[in-house]
Amino acid sequence: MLVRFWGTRGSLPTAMRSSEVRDKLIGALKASNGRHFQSDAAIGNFVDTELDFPIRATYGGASSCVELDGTSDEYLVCDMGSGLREFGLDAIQRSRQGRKKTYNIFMSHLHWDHIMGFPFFVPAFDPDVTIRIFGGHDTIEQALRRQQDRISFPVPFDFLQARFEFTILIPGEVTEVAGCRVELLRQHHDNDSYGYRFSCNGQSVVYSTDSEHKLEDPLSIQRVVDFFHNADLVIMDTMYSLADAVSMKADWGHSSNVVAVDLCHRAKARRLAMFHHEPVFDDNTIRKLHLDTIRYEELMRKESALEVLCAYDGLEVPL
Amino acid sequence: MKWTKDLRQGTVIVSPGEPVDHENAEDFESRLIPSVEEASRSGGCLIIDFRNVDYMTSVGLRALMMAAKEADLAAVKILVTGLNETMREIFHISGFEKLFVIHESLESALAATSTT
Repeated sequence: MLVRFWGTRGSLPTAMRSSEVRDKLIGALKASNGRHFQSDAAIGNFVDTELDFPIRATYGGASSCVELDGTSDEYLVCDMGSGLREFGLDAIQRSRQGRKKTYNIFMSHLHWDHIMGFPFFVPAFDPDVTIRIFGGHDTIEQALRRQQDRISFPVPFDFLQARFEFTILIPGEVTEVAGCRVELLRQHHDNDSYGYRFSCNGQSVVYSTDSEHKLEDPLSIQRVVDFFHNADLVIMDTMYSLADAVSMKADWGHSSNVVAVDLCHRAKARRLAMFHHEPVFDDNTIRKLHLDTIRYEELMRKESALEVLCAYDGLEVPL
Repeated sequence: MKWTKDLRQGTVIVSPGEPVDHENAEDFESRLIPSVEEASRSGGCLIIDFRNVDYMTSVGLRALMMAAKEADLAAVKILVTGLNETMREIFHISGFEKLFVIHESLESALAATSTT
């Protein structure tokens, strides 16, 4: 299985400013220290191996969209943030190579940043496509139709040519989709959100975003620990610092890097992918958060190590 | 949980005696909040001495935040001391170093209480 991140930004898509690009170029040229390179490949090697992430790359700015590839010949996707647009274009190319035109999409919830990619999802205009949308909310179709009301968007939902199926999932029940056993967990977020655990070919991935973990409620925390138990990868909302999450941003419905590590340690998960990055953070800030989280994991580790990744648009994690 | 409490110059000094995690965070909070109330009744200052706390997870930090909120309501000043290197890093990474006044030593914390 390959987990592919198409959108990793929280709340609102962001675009890098020219000044940030300039800073990256300055950083790269300083690091090269006047060196002469014999070829493009040599330059590429220098960029890939000697430059720190915020200089050579960016975490990106598309909102939530994650693909689990390789579970079956159907597509399996979590959320329809603005990253869905690029996923759709890529999937069209793959389907031209013979991939089945069936999309299974699991919705964490229906807030704008998690559905805004749908009007730009080109496969929805293909009459040979089937789009199955799953979630814990019974208002998914309503949310998608409302988003394409004429007051907000020029193309109405009924203009779409794909065949749609909407399935409401119940926490505690197991669903088999695209070669995976899927469970969901209701999470603390305004109007609720749902986390998903996908168990496919002996591997398990948890997608848990837009979830505030109420540390004063040990039973709800234990439910999360059980849900994460032994996961090969936990993709988790780490939008705030713990200090913010339990003070001025309490009840805003998001979590922190520190809580993510604590939950994954208790659950004996193998990898954590930090996700749903705060839109006001630039690449340097997110990189610092990533390094801090790696350090916190080292400090608090009791048993085997938890690998801490920081998701970015375009990251692929093979499992 | 192991816990000691002292009263010096009208200042309440509490000292948890072990790491704080999900096993004992409720106990930690149930001792800490009354200490804020006690400090409110005495000199208005509470020193939390972490010299015997090797580490603290998010549930312990949250309890500390609850104590800080109580302290704000009761006009109690909380001072933190006795952080080892690990605890200093935990306070830094979690952002708690910006929320609490941290002193290098108990003596320094006590001296600060006399200026309030």
